[in-house]
Amino acid sequence: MREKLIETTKGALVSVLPISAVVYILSVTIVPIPIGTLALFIFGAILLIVGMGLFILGVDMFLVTLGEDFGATMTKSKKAILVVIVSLIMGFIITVAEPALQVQAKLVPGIPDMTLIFTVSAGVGIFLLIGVFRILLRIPLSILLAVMYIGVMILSIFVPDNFAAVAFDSGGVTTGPVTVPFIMAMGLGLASVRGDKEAREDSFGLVALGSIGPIISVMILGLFYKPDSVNPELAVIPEVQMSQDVLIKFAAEIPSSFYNVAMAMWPILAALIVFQGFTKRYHKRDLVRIFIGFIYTFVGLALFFAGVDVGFIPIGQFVGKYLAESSMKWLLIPLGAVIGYFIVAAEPAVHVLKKQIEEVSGGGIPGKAVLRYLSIGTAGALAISMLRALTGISLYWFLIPGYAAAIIMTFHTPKIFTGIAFDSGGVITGPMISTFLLPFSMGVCLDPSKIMTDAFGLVAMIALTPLITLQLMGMVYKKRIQEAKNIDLPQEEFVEFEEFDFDYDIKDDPRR
Amino acid sequence: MSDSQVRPPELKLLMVVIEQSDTSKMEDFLKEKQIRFHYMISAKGTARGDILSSLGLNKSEKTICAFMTRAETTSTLVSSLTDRFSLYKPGNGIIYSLPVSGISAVVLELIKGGNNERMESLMEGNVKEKKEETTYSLIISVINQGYSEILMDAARFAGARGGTVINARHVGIEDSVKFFGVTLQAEKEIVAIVTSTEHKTELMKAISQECGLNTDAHGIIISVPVENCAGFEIPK
Repeated sequence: MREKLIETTKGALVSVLPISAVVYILSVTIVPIPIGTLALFIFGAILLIVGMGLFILGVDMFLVTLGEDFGATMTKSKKAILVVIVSLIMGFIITVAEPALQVQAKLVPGIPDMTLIFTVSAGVGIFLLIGVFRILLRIPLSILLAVMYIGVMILSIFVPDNFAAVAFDSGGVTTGPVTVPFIMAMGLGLASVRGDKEAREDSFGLVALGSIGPIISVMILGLFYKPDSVNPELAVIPEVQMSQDVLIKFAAEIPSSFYNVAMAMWPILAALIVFQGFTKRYHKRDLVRIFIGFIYTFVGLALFFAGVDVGFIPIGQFVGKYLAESSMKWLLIPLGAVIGYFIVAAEPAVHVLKKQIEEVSGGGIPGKAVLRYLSIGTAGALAISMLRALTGISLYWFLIPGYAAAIIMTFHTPKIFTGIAFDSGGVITGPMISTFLLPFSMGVCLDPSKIMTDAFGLVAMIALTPLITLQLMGMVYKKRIQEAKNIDLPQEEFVEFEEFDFDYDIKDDPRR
Repeated sequence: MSDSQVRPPELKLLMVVIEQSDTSKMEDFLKEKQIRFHYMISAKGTARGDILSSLGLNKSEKTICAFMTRAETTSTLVSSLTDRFSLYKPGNGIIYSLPVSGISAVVLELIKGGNNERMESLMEGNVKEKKEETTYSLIISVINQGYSEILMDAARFAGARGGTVINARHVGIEDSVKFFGVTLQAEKEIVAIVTSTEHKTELMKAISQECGLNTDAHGIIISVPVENCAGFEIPK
């Protein structure tokens, strides 16, 4: 028990502390932050650590278990209609459940929250279905992705610029700490009942398609929907004067955070009950464990979101605005890169991705290396986004060549890396990005009329860069394996040892 | 098989079950001893059916590392592994070895070749063979997915201390089931339990009662003799 607790605590600290330390150092050196905001931030970071720890502990017991078993069972049923229904419904409800999406919906101005949430969820449901059928019909992931992204680019011509930015962001943000473990595990479950050699590489790729869904559905929404107001409001930085106020702010936030996460999670529990009713897959003891996993995940996520909402949104916005207004604007580019590098580890879903990769590859693809490539990618994305915010270069100058490169790379990198890379594009952009980096870049935008296009393209950039860095990692990996294979082996012959004697007694062994 | 020769057994397959977090330490060890052809298998330690496991607080991810060694060096390797991974403390991991009854000549040469020097250095000063008083057996049960805990409950009741679970798929002689283009296979679990040979039959009976062929678990239970055991106490 001690080991497990130490491991979990370590995981939580390693993911949250670095980014907190960066912000803290910033606040005592370059950006003077009101002490109240800082107090909120520090308290928020503590909630984040506790929440993250509980999430890590619970996610395997609850979301991953359910995802794997849903995936395996629906495939084994061999009923196409069941596969259609389960993929569509689970894709939909798991996305409605995604707290990261709710944060995003609140930040997006001009579109009613529920309209956005339902549009995005429908997109995920339909594309999860496409993803599952891709596996069953054996359509190569790279070809499907290429077709989809070309479709997205064509569609974006007809959609107003500000809507396109929101669409790209929705794609990234949707796949957060609830959807990723579930959808990814569904892919693993599907793979676990398969005997063919593609099973391993097909374990990834569902999340990737799940993040294109919302891009397309939100763009389609943009074709029909004319937003009445496009002026987003910046978050009001809460006033904190006394140390007690910090606790009061959180005390006010925590119940609503619990309520939001509870509203989000109950459909999953309902799906579990229906599933158990039909399949009776779990024994009583399994059910107890799943339920306890649910409690961990629930409490963990609620604390995590309370922490980011109160602690991180204000400070992100403040730091961005302060730097953009100061004479040290250029500092935004390197600082953005540093923040980007360290924020990746604090995304809860990234942990799940790391673990799944190690599990599927049997440790052959080290999780630590994946995290490093993700961090480098995000650092690059942040640097580009800050440059964009300062100069006003259009998002498309980066998106189109970026996606083109990513798609060309799919034909040169091992298939499993294509799956991992496109999945991680969705995985990486979760609640930390939308609660800290999004407000940060909204703060950077001094001209409020440009927030929609400038700030919101950030998530799209962050979702793009891992496609390139991870596929690059795959190409390096492929090269190394090829080098190892270039050894000529002689013709095989077999040596038989003396027939093994079943009455063989070790004590009589002549060698002893 | 005209050109195949029959020789006395000279290879053993050593199975080392360790914590998953120790996998890279294991790889270092193998590199250091220049052992080639090793395979890492992800497995789960069987959780005790108590509160801790329900709370998800017990650590259960294990790695089984399987590699072949020359029979002469096995016991030396076992004792250095025991030291390296503190296997004398219960719960840290176990080792057992299986006899190898045939092998590709190429692989055999690769295993033997080039490490004679290394072998001498391994043997040097460390030739004290451990006398084993008890003989051990490995009970392998192949059961339907989801029954490993029930199996372990039965085995524990009959005196087993723990086991290792590997996820597997069923491949039969019958035509595999296809769903669209995808071949479907039934999920299975393989549970490996090491026990003293005298307890073997008793344990197998207990397991077959709960998880045998006539139960929902459809278990196939076999046992094989193992040697060079380390890292666990067996009820005498």
